[in-house]
Amino acid sequence: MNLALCIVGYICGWIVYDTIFAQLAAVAAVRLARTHSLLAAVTATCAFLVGFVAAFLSHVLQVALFYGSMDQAISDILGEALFRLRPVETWQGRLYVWLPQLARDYWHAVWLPEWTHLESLLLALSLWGLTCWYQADGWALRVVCIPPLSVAAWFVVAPAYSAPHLHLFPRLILFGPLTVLVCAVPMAGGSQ
Amino acid sequence: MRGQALITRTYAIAAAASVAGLFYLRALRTPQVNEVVSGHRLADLSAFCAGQSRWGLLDGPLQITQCPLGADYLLLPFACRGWDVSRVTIGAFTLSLAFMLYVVLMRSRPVWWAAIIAYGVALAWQPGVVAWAGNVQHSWALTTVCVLVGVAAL
Repeated sequence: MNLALCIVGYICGWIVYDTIFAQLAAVAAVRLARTHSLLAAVTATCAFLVGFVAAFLSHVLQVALFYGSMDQAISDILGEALFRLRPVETWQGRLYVWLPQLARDYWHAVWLPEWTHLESLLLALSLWGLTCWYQADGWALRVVCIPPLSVAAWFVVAPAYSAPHLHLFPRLILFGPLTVLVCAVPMAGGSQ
Repeated sequence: MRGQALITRTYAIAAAASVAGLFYLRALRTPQVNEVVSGHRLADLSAFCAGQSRWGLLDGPLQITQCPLGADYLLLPFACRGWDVSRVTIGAFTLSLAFMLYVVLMRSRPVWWAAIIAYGVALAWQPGVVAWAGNVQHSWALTTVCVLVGVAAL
Protein backbone atom coordinates (compact mmCIF):
# COMPACT_ATOMS: atom_id res chain seq x y z
CA MET A 1 0.00 0.00 0.00
CA ASN A 2 2.72 2.45 0.99
CA LEU A 3 4.63 1.74 -2.22
CA ALA A 4 1.47 2.40 -4.23
CA LEU A 5 0.93 5.69 -2.40
CA CYS A 6 4.56 6.63 -3.00
CA ILE A 7 4.13 6.03 -6.74
CA VAL A 8 0.84 7.94 -6.84
CA GLY A 9 2.52 10.72 -4.84
CA TYR A 10 5.20 10.91 -7.51
CA ILE A 11 2.59 11.21 -10.24
CA CYS A 12 0.60 13.81 -8.25
CA GLY A 13 3.78 15.80 -7.69
CA TRP A 14 4.19 16.00 -11.43
CA ILE A 15 0.66 17.23 -11.96
CA VAL A 16 -0.09 19.97 -9.44
CA TYR A 17 1.38 21.51 -6.29
CA ASP A 18 -1.68 23.57 -5.34
CA THR A 19 -3.55 20.55 -4.07
CA ILE A 20 -1.00 19.31 -1.55
CA PHE A 21 -3.11 20.05 1.53
CA ALA A 22 -6.19 18.31 0.13
CA GLN A 23 -4.04 15.40 -1.07
CA LEU A 24 -2.46 14.96 2.34
CA ALA A 25 -5.91 15.09 3.94
CA ALA A 26 -7.12 12.41 1.51
CA VAL A 27 -4.33 9.99 2.36
CA ALA A 28 -4.33 10.67 6.13
CA ALA A 29 -8.12 10.59 6.61
CA VAL A 30 -8.78 7.55 4.43
CA ARG A 31 -5.92 5.48 5.84
CA LEU A 32 -6.98 6.38 9.38
CA ALA A 33 -10.52 5.35 8.53
CA ARG A 34 -9.40 2.08 6.97
CA THR A 35 -6.83 0.98 9.54
CA HIS A 36 -7.95 2.71 12.78
CA SER A 37 -4.26 3.23 13.43
CA LEU A 38 -2.64 6.63 13.73
CA LEU A 39 0.76 5.12 13.02
CA ALA A 40 -0.46 3.50 9.78
CA ALA A 41 -2.05 6.79 8.69
CA VAL A 42 1.14 8.75 9.39
CA THR A 43 3.27 6.14 7.59
CA ALA A 44 1.00 6.20 4.55
CA THR A 45 1.02 10.01 4.49
CA CYS A 46 4.82 10.01 4.70
CA ALA A 47 5.01 7.48 1.85
CA PHE A 48 2.86 9.77 -0.27
CA LEU A 49 5.04 12.75 0.67
CA VAL A 50 8.23 10.89 -0.28
CA GLY A 51 6.82 10.34 -3.77
CA PHE A 52 5.65 13.93 -3.97
CA VAL A 53 9.03 15.32 -2.91
CA ALA A 54 10.79 12.98 -5.35
CA ALA A 55 8.64 14.47 -8.13
CA PHE A 56 9.54 17.96 -6.98
CA LEU A 57 13.26 17.11 -7.01
CA SER A 58 12.90 15.55 -10.48
CA HIS A 59 11.33 18.79 -11.63
CA VAL A 60 14.16 20.85 -10.12
CA LEU A 61 16.65 18.61 -11.95
CA GLN A 62 14.72 19.04 -15.19
CA VAL A 63 14.77 22.84 -14.81
CA ALA A 64 18.49 22.74 -13.96
CA LEU A 65 19.18 20.80 -17.17
CA PHE A 66 17.03 23.28 -19.07
CA TYR A 67 18.89 26.34 -17.72
CA GLY A 68 22.24 24.59 -17.47
CA SER A 69 22.49 25.83 -13.88
CA MET A 70 21.26 24.36 -10.62
CA ASP A 71 21.46 27.75 -8.89
CA GLN A 72 19.14 29.31 -11.43
CA ALA A 73 16.73 26.40 -11.18
CA ILE A 74 16.55 26.64 -7.39
CA SER A 75 16.13 30.43 -7.32
CA ASP A 76 13.49 30.19 -10.05
CA ILE A 77 11.37 27.62 -8.24
CA LEU A 78 11.98 28.81 -4.69
CA GLY A 79 11.33 32.41 -5.71
CA GLU A 80 7.85 31.47 -6.85
CA ALA A 81 7.24 29.31 -3.78
CA LEU A 82 8.34 32.08 -1.39
CA PHE A 83 6.08 34.52 -3.21
CA ARG A 84 3.15 32.19 -2.58
CA LEU A 85 4.08 31.53 1.05
CA ARG A 86 5.09 35.08 1.84
CA PRO A 87 3.94 36.49 5.14
CA VAL A 88 1.71 39.51 5.01
CA GLU A 89 3.96 42.04 6.72
CA THR A 90 3.42 40.65 10.20
CA TRP A 91 1.93 37.50 11.67
CA GLN A 92 -0.68 39.65 13.39
CA GLY A 93 -1.64 41.13 10.03
CA ARG A 94 -1.84 37.68 8.52
CA LEU A 95 -3.96 36.21 11.30
CA TYR A 96 -6.27 39.12 12.08
CA VAL A 97 -6.70 40.91 8.73
CA TRP A 98 -5.60 38.77 5.80
CA LEU A 99 -7.02 35.41 6.89
CA PRO A 100 -10.44 36.71 7.99
CA GLN A 101 -10.74 38.50 4.65
CA LEU A 102 -9.86 35.28 2.80
CA ALA A 103 -12.38 33.35 4.88
CA ARG A 104 -15.05 35.96 4.11
CA ASP A 105 -14.27 35.78 0.35
CA TYR A 106 -14.55 32.02 0.27
CA TRP A 107 -17.63 31.94 2.49
CA HIS A 108 -19.24 34.40 0.09
CA ALA A 109 -18.27 32.09 -2.79
CA VAL A 110 -20.26 29.23 -1.22
CA TRP A 111 -23.49 31.11 -1.97
CA LEU A 112 -22.63 32.14 -5.53
CA PRO A 113 -24.84 30.26 -8.01
CA GLU A 114 -21.96 30.01 -10.50
CA TRP A 115 -20.04 27.88 -7.97
CA THR A 116 -22.55 26.01 -5.83
CA HIS A 117 -25.96 24.41 -6.38
CA LEU A 118 -27.05 24.62 -2.78
CA GLU A 119 -30.22 22.52 -2.91
CA SER A 120 -28.56 19.36 -4.22
CA LEU A 121 -25.53 19.81 -2.00
CA LEU A 122 -27.58 20.35 1.15
CA LEU A 123 -29.83 17.42 0.31
CA ALA A 124 -26.87 15.08 -0.13
CA LEU A 125 -25.10 16.34 2.95
CA SER A 126 -28.28 16.04 5.03
CA LEU A 127 -28.55 12.39 4.05
CA TRP A 128 -24.87 11.94 4.83
CA GLY A 129 -25.24 13.74 8.17
CA LEU A 130 -28.27 11.66 9.10
CA THR A 131 -26.41 8.43 8.38
CA CYS A 132 -23.46 9.82 10.28
CA TRP A 133 -25.70 10.56 13.26
CA TYR A 134 -26.84 6.94 13.53
CA GLN A 135 -23.74 5.09 12.29
CA ALA A 136 -20.63 7.10 13.03
CA ASP A 137 -18.36 6.01 15.86
CA GLY A 138 -15.34 7.45 17.63
CA TRP A 139 -13.06 6.82 14.69
CA ALA A 140 -15.36 8.74 12.36
CA LEU A 141 -15.17 11.73 14.68
CA ARG A 142 -11.36 11.64 14.53
CA VAL A 143 -11.42 11.42 10.74
CA VAL A 144 -13.84 14.35 10.50
CA CYS A 145 -11.22 16.69 11.95
CA ILE A 146 -8.59 16.09 9.25
CA PRO A 147 -10.02 17.82 6.13
CA PRO A 148 -11.07 21.07 7.88
CA LEU A 149 -7.71 21.17 9.67
CA SER A 150 -5.92 20.77 6.35
CA VAL A 151 -7.85 23.73 4.92
CA ALA A 152 -7.10 25.84 8.00
CA ALA A 153 -3.41 24.95 7.79
CA TRP A 154 -3.36 25.83 4.10
CA PHE A 155 -4.88 29.23 4.80
CA VAL A 156 -2.29 29.94 7.49
CA VAL A 157 0.77 28.55 5.70
CA ALA A 158 0.09 29.78 2.19
CA PRO A 159 -2.48 32.59 2.22
CA ALA A 160 -1.05 34.12 -0.93
CA TYR A 161 -1.87 30.90 -2.75
CA SER A 162 -5.56 31.14 -2.02
CA ALA A 163 -6.07 34.88 -2.27
CA PRO A 164 -5.74 35.58 -5.99
CA HIS A 165 -7.32 32.28 -6.96
CA LEU A 166 -11.02 32.31 -6.16
CA HIS A 167 -11.47 29.66 -8.82
CA LEU A 168 -9.61 27.25 -6.53
CA PHE A 169 -12.64 27.34 -4.26
CA PRO A 170 -14.75 24.62 -5.89
CA ARG A 171 -11.87 22.24 -6.38
CA LEU A 172 -9.66 22.75 -3.39
CA ILE A 173 -11.27 24.73 -0.63
CA LEU A 174 -14.75 23.23 -0.63
CA PHE A 175 -15.19 20.14 -2.76
CA GLY A 176 -11.72 18.61 -2.32
CA PRO A 177 -11.87 18.32 1.49
CA LEU A 178 -15.63 17.68 1.38
CA THR A 179 -15.09 14.72 -0.95
CA VAL A 180 -12.45 13.35 1.39
CA LEU A 181 -14.81 13.73 4.34
CA VAL A 182 -17.80 12.14 2.61
CA CYS A 183 -15.69 9.15 1.54
CA ALA A 184 -13.53 8.65 4.63
CA VAL A 185 -16.17 8.68 7.36
CA PRO A 186 -18.23 5.73 5.99
CA MET A 187 -15.09 3.61 6.08
CA ALA A 188 -14.29 4.57 9.67
CA GLY A 189 -17.31 2.63 10.92
CA GLY A 190 -15.82 -0.64 9.68
CA SER A 191 -15.83 -2.15 6.22
CA GLN A 192 -18.39 -4.71 5.17
CA MET B 1 -20.84 -15.99 0.64
CA ARG B 2 -18.96 -15.61 -2.64
CA GLY B 3 -22.25 -15.07 -4.40
CA GLN B 4 -23.08 -12.28 -1.96
CA ALA B 5 -19.68 -10.63 -2.58
CA LEU B 6 -20.22 -10.86 -6.32
CA ILE B 7 -23.63 -9.21 -6.02
CA THR B 8 -22.19 -6.42 -3.87
CA ARG B 9 -19.37 -5.85 -6.35
CA THR B 10 -21.82 -5.76 -9.25
CA TYR B 11 -23.99 -3.20 -7.46
CA ALA B 12 -20.95 -1.09 -6.59
CA ILE B 13 -19.73 -1.12 -10.20
CA ALA B 14 -23.20 -0.24 -11.48
CA ALA B 15 -23.63 2.61 -8.98
CA ALA B 16 -20.16 4.08 -9.57
CA ALA B 17 -20.49 3.82 -13.34
CA SER B 18 -23.97 5.38 -13.28
CA VAL B 19 -22.92 8.38 -11.19
CA ALA B 20 -19.75 8.89 -13.23
CA GLY B 21 -21.71 8.52 -16.47
CA LEU B 22 -24.23 11.09 -15.27
CA PHE B 23 -21.39 13.45 -14.41
CA TYR B 24 -19.77 12.93 -17.81
CA LEU B 25 -23.00 13.63 -19.70
CA ARG B 26 -23.70 16.76 -17.66
CA ALA B 27 -20.14 18.02 -18.16
CA LEU B 28 -20.35 17.45 -21.92
CA ARG B 29 -23.57 19.48 -22.06
CA THR B 30 -22.21 22.30 -19.90
CA PRO B 31 -20.07 25.03 -21.47
CA GLN B 32 -16.60 24.47 -20.07
CA VAL B 33 -14.59 27.27 -18.48
CA ASN B 34 -11.10 27.46 -19.92
CA GLU B 35 -9.73 30.85 -18.91
CA VAL B 36 -6.42 32.59 -19.70
CA VAL B 37 -4.26 30.18 -17.71
CA SER B 38 -5.80 27.23 -19.52
CA GLY B 39 -5.10 28.99 -22.80
CA HIS B 40 -1.48 28.94 -21.76
CA ARG B 41 -1.60 25.17 -21.35
CA LEU B 42 -3.25 24.75 -24.76
CA ALA B 43 -0.48 26.86 -26.30
CA ASP B 44 2.07 24.73 -24.44
CA LEU B 45 0.56 21.59 -25.92
CA SER B 46 0.71 23.00 -29.45
CA ALA B 47 4.35 23.92 -28.95
CA PHE B 48 5.17 20.46 -27.58
CA CYS B 49 3.46 18.83 -30.54
CA ALA B 50 5.52 21.08 -32.84
CA GLY B 51 8.65 19.74 -31.15
CA GLN B 52 9.69 23.05 -29.62
CA SER B 53 10.80 21.63 -26.29
CA ARG B 54 14.12 21.09 -24.60
CA TRP B 55 14.44 18.76 -21.59
CA GLY B 56 10.65 18.63 -21.56
CA LEU B 57 10.34 22.41 -21.10
CA LEU B 58 9.57 25.13 -23.58
CA ASP B 59 11.77 27.94 -24.80
CA GLY B 60 10.58 31.46 -25.49
CA PRO B 61 7.50 33.22 -24.13
CA LEU B 62 5.75 29.96 -23.32
CA GLN B 63 8.52 28.88 -21.00
CA ILE B 64 7.27 28.26 -17.48
CA THR B 65 9.52 26.48 -15.06
CA GLN B 66 7.88 27.05 -11.68
CA CYS B 67 5.04 24.61 -12.23
CA PRO B 68 5.27 20.89 -12.97
CA LEU B 69 4.06 19.96 -16.44
CA GLY B 70 2.78 16.47 -15.73
CA ALA B 71 -0.72 17.27 -17.00
CA ASP B 72 0.83 18.49 -20.27
CA TYR B 73 2.69 15.21 -20.63
CA LEU B 74 -0.50 13.23 -19.94
CA LEU B 75 -2.46 15.21 -22.51
CA LEU B 76 0.29 15.23 -25.14
CA PRO B 77 -0.62 11.97 -26.94
CA PHE B 78 -4.20 13.24 -27.33
CA ALA B 79 -3.30 16.81 -28.26
CA CYS B 80 -0.88 15.69 -30.96
CA ARG B 81 -3.63 13.54 -32.49
CA GLY B 82 -5.89 16.57 -32.62
CA TRP B 83 -8.29 15.44 -29.90
CA ASP B 84 -10.27 17.93 -27.84
CA VAL B 85 -8.15 17.93 -24.68
CA SER B 86 -10.93 19.52 -22.65
CA ARG B 87 -13.02 16.41 -23.24
CA VAL B 88 -10.05 14.22 -22.39
CA THR B 89 -9.72 16.14 -19.12
CA ILE B 90 -13.41 15.57 -18.37
CA GLY B 91 -12.85 11.88 -19.12
CA ALA B 92 -9.91 11.73 -16.72
CA PHE B 93 -11.97 13.32 -13.96
CA THR B 94 -14.90 11.01 -14.65
CA LEU B 95 -12.70 7.91 -14.48
CA SER B 96 -11.15 9.04 -11.22
CA LEU B 97 -14.62 9.72 -9.79
CA ALA B 98 -15.84 6.26 -10.84
CA PHE B 99 -12.75 4.61 -9.37
CA MET B 100 -13.11 6.48 -6.08
CA LEU B 101 -16.83 5.76 -5.76
CA TYR B 102 -16.38 2.08 -6.55
CA VAL B 103 -13.64 1.57 -3.96
CA VAL B 104 -15.43 3.61 -1.28
CA LEU B 105 -18.72 1.76 -1.86
CA MET B 106 -16.92 -1.57 -1.61
CA ARG B 107 -15.27 -0.50 1.64
CA SER B 108 -18.41 0.89 3.29
CA ARG B 109 -21.38 -0.85 4.84
CA PRO B 110 -24.54 -0.75 2.68
CA VAL B 111 -26.23 1.69 5.06
CA TRP B 112 -23.83 4.37 3.78
CA TRP B 113 -24.40 3.73 0.09
CA ALA B 114 -27.30 6.13 -0.35
CA ALA B 115 -25.34 9.00 1.22
CA ILE B 116 -22.24 8.33 -0.88
CA ILE B 117 -24.20 8.03 -4.13
CA ALA B 118 -26.23 11.15 -3.28
CA TYR B 119 -23.01 13.12 -2.82
CA GLY B 120 -21.70 11.84 -6.18
CA VAL B 121 -24.93 12.96 -7.87
CA ALA B 122 -24.81 16.34 -6.07
CA LEU B 123 -21.27 16.79 -7.38
CA ALA B 124 -22.64 16.47 -10.91
CA TRP B 125 -24.98 19.37 -10.13
CA GLN B 126 -22.33 21.74 -8.79
CA PRO B 127 -21.55 24.39 -11.43
CA GLY B 128 -18.14 25.01 -9.86
CA VAL B 129 -17.23 21.39 -10.51
CA VAL B 130 -19.15 20.38 -13.60
CA ALA B 131 -18.32 23.52 -15.64
CA TRP B 132 -14.65 23.28 -14.67
CA ALA B 133 -14.22 19.53 -15.13
CA GLY B 134 -12.86 20.19 -18.61
CA ASN B 135 -10.57 23.00 -17.50
CA VAL B 136 -7.23 21.71 -18.73
CA GLN B 137 -5.34 23.60 -16.04
CA HIS B 138 -7.36 23.26 -12.85
CA SER B 139 -9.54 20.18 -13.22
CA TRP B 140 -6.57 17.97 -12.32
CA ALA B 141 -6.62 19.23 -8.74
CA LEU B 142 -9.85 17.42 -7.89
CA THR B 143 -8.94 14.49 -10.15
CA THR B 144 -5.83 13.79 -8.06
CA VAL B 145 -7.88 13.96 -4.83
CA CYS B 146 -10.34 11.37 -6.19
CA VAL B 147 -7.50 9.07 -7.28
CA LEU B 148 -5.83 9.41 -3.89
CA VAL B 149 -9.02 8.65 -1.97
CA GLY B 150 -9.48 5.55 -4.13
CA VAL B 151 -5.90 4.31 -3.80
CA ALA B 152 -5.75 5.01 -0.04
CA ALA B 153 -9.01 3.08 0.42
CA LEU B 154 -7.77 -0.03 -1.41
